[in-house]
Amino acid sequence: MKIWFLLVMSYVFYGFWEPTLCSLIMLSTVVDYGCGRKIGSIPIEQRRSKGKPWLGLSLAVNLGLLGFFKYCDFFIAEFVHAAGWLGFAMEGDQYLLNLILPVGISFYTFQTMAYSIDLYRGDIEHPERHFGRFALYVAFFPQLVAGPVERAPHLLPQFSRPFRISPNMVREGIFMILLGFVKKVVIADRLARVIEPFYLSAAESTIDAAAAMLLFTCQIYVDFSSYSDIAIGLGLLLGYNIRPNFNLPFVVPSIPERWRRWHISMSHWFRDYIFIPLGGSRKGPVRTQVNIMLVMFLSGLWHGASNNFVMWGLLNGATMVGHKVLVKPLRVVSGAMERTEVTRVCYYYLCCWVTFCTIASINIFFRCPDWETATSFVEAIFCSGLDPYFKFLLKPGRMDRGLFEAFSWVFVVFCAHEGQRYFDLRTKILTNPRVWSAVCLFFFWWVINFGITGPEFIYYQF
Amino acid sequence: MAETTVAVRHIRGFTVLALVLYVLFAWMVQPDSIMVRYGRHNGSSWNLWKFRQLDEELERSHTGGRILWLVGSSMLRDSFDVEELNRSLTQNESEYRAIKFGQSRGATGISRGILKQLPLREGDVVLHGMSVENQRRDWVEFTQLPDWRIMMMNSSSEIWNIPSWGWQKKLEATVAVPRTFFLYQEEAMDGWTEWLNAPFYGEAPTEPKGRRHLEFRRKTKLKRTQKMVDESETFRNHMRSGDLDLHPTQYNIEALSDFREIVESAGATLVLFEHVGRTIYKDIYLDDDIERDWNRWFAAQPEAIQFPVPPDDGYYDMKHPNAKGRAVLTAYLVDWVTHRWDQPPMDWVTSWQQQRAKTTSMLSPSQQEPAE
Repeated sequence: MKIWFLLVMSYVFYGFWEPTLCSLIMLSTVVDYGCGRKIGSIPIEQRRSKGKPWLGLSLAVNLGLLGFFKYCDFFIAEFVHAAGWLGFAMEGDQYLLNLILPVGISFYTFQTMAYSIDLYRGDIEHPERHFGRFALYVAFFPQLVAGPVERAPHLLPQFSRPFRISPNMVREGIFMILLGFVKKVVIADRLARVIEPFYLSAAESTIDAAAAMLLFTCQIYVDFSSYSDIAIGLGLLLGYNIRPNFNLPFVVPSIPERWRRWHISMSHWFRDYIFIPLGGSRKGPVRTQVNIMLVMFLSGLWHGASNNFVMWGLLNGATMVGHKVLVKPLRVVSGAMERTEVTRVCYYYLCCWVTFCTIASINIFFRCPDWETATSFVEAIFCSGLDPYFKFLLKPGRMDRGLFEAFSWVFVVFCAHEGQRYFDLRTKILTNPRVWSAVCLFFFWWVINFGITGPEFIYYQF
Repeated sequence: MAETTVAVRHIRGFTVLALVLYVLFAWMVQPDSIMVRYGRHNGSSWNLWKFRQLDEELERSHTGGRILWLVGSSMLRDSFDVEELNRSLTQNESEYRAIKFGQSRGATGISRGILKQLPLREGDVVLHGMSVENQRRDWVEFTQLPDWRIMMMNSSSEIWNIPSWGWQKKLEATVAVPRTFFLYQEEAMDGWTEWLNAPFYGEAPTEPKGRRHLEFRRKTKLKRTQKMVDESETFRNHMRSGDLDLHPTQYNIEALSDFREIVESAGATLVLFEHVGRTIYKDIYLDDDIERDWNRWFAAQPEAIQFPVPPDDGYYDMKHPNAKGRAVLTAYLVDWVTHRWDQPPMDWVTSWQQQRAKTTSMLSPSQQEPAE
């Protein structure tokens, strides 16, 4: 009964935005449930040979849905552009289908594909027989529209067991939900309000462009992780464990470290279903780096159908490869810097700052609405020489109040992040009921008093 | 199982506690609560504040006791100096005194929220300014007004009539309880922010007086016109064929019929005039068919009267009059209250053609084509 109730509520939640799009999620569910049953009926040792058609059907439907709704217009536009370049007179807009992108389609299609692939590979022995449970696995509302991308072996068994919840889960759930709300409506939306005007058109000032670039990297972290926090909190209150999606990725000393801690569920998906099947790092350094580039390229494409996201993926891949190339000389430097505690800490935070700036620079392509705006930002920030930066450093008072307050929030995020790293604040709060009560009351007050109406979650668009 | 029972009991307890705290925190946000007073920053809120301060008996204590209500947008707000207007009306021993409610983005749909609360009486006059750019098909979306601002000035039934809002949004706006919390939370937050920032800036916050919302903006400097002309094609406000919607269900046109109903039921008179703006405005920001359709539609409105167009340097931007423009319009309104002309006498009007000739050199050949 509980499963069906949650399923209906999940569909109501999803359909609240656009009821007709429930049919897509239903299609994906029915196809994967059927394919899963068929693959599961084949003995494990024969699945890789006899299960191919069913896996193919599952992939075709899910990738077809994703491709049609997400990439169709992009490829049409590119085709028309190419045709025009070759001399064929074609007007772009009339060929576009102008499809609306169903919220969360990239998440639930990946989740269902993972189920079919796991069955096919034998990682899951028995398919789920209960349709309601499987449908809930696909549509479970806390993580439906922006992840974490759950795996069947982790979530499905939880739906089968009797309802079980502990006071600790309640405490943690409430804390996570409130933390998520503070991150979203108090911090992320406030940052969004400051940043937004800078990205509406081409960059005009070097300092403004650089400030917007740095602030966006904080905004996307707070915004995205807030959704995961709320999802995890809701899951806990319903008696389910949802896997964490972030592990302190804001202040990290290297790019690979950042990817190990950022959007963990999706990184693991790409690792398990693309990187490792391609050979992973088992086939020599060159092939490893090609695989990394390919995975990051696909990761960029997963985010959206535009040249900006492709470039974002490739640049991320390039930095990962670059890190692998530089890892030996960097070890020599870090060895030298670790001789004293002061130099070690300084070197650590210098690395964190360089990593942060690198990620922020790459994120220009993520945030800018089009290629022209992105290139104008790159030019403003990197091609204006050091003069504007020196002038600003000599007269920092020119920074406007909105930017100053936004950077204050970045500082708050930094302090909370490092507090968690060094003192494990979360555990301390959760294990002391008085501290927990005070913190939750404070968060609640902040959300009510300082929450602002801002844009929807950034990852809704994917 | 026992642990689950305890946990569920905790959830119930926390839910009740959260509700109690929500009601408590929400109840602290009222239209004139202390933090709202320190954070009040938008025209709608200031206009409602002004309405709450209104002492009708005092306002009608002059001979005749009639009121000229000026209700409209920021263009109306900046067009008239009410202090000067009332001084002149007193000098002329007019039976009218003026009260102004002008607010940014205060097109007809938003101004309706003020109008329906006003204590209109027989013989009063309601002067409302209209403008072509407020008749966009997607005006509510285009203006990017926050939802609470729409909610502040529209009843639930009016919200359900907004064509561009989805049912989800309408539902959310309707069930937002307590309503005052949703309407004033942002200003309360700004008040809190002022106080929390105070130690960092080293000075205690002061309650804003809202002069720029209640009187007019004191701007005078005009932006470079040539730059505006050059960028007009890509400017967001440029109205192209198809943007204009004069259908009765369009948000602001629908509100106009409410205007008529409210004013008529009180026995007052509704008067509409157009905020024409600088002569160059229509040339560069409106496609020809829009200008034609709008002119035809506005001329057909029975309540429409013509106002003089201030000289080109009588604006601080394309549409908002500065002190010079305000002086012209205020003086004209004083005379109009006495004479009730449908059209300004010739000595009031600076020749449109003369003004146009001054700006034509800035236009590209396509923009120079005569609109009508």
